[in-house]
Amino acid sequence: MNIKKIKAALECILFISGDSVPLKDLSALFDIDKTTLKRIINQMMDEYEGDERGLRIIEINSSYQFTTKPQYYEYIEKLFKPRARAGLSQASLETLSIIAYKQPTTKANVDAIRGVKSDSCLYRLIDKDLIKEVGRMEAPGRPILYGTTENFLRLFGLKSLSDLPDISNVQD
Amino acid sequence: MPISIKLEVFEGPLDLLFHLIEKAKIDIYDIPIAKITEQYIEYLNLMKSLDIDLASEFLVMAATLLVIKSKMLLPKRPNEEENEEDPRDELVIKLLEYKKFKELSDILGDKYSNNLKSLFKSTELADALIDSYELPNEIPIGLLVEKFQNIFKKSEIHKKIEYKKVYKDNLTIDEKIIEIFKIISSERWTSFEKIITFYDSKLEIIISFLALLELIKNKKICVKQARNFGEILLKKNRVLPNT
Repeated sequence: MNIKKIKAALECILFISGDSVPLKDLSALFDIDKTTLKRIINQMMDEYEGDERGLRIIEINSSYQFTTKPQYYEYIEKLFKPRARAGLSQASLETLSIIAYKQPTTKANVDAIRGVKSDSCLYRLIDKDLIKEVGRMEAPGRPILYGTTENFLRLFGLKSLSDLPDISNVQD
Repeated sequence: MPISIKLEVFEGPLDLLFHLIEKAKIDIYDIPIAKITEQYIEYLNLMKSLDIDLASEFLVMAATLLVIKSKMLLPKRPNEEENEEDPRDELVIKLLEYKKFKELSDILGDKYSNNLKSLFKSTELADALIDSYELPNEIPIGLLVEKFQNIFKKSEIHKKIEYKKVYKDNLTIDEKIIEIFKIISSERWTSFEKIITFYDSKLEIIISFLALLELIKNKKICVKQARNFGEILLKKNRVLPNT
C-alpha cells in the first residue's frame, strides 16, 4: 500500500468514526509501525492545515479525529443553527483546573484550595463529561478521586495532559 | 421596593479577599490585616443588608481574619521575635495557591471558548455500521419450506424417544474404599487397570477411581508408573499414618 492510499484510507476511517481513533488500532489495521504511521498522519495534519481545507485532524491522547476549523463556524451556524455548547462558570472552571492539574484528587482537596464547597460544580462537570471518578484514595473514608476525561482534552483543544498550560508560568 | 444592584459575585472568601487585596494594591506578602479585615467585614455587612445569603465559609474567613488580627496585636517576647511564625503565613499560602488556580482557570477558560467553534461529528455513522446486518437479497421459498420440514422432522424424532427408568445407585465412595483396600496387598504391586476394569458399570468405574484418589490422598496406598502411558501399579503403604 503506498502512502497516498494509506492517507485516503485514513481519511475514510476518520470520517466514518466521528469519534477519535487510536493510533494503536490504525497501526494494527495497516500493519505499519506506530512511528511511521504517526509520521504519515502528521503529514496529513499539515496538509489539512492548508487554507483550502475546512476540516482539520486533531490529536487527543494518541488518537485522531476530524473537527471543523473554528474560523468557518459562522457558515455552519447560519445553515444549521447548532445549539452552542454552554459556557463554563468561573466556579466550574476553577474546580476543573484544580482537578486537571492535581489529578487524581479528592473533593476535599478542591474545597481546600477554593475555600468553598465545590459539590455542585463537581456534579456539573461530571454531567458534562469533563471529569470522572478515577478511583478511591487509600485513606480513611476512601474518598473518591477525580480526574479529567478525554472529552475534556477535546473541548479544550489539548493533545494530552502534558499539553496543559505550564503551571510554573503562573506560579509566583 | 427591592432595588437590584449589580454586585461583583465572589466564588468564595478567598476570591473576595483576593479582590480586596488587588483593589487596594497591597503586597500579598505583607497584608495590612486590620485594614483588610475591616473591608472584608464591611462587604459582608453590605451583602447582609442586601438580603444576600452568605455561605458559611465567608463567616469562617471573617473569624480567621480576626484571629490573625488579634495575634498580631499581641506584643512579642524579644527572644521569640526571630523564629516566630507570622500569623499571616498560612493565609498567604492559601491565597497564593488560590491565585494560581484562578489564573490557570482563566487560561483554560480562554482555551475552552476558543475551541467552542470547532465542531466534531457524533459517532452515529460508525455505530450504525457496527449494529447493522444485511438481509440476503433473495431467499428462495423452497429453502424456507425445507428448513421448516427439517425442524418438524426433528421434533417428530423427539416424540419417538423411549424413556428408560433411572435406578438409584447405592454405591458410595466410602464402601468402595474399603473394597479396594482389601484387593490391594501390601506385599505385591497390583495393576491399576485390573482394579478399574474389574467393574463393568461406568458409574462403578468412576467411583472406584475416586476411591483410589481418596486413598492416595490419605497416603494409604502408593502409586508408581515407570514411564509415560505405562502401567500404573498400586501397593499398600507399609506405614499407615492417620490410622
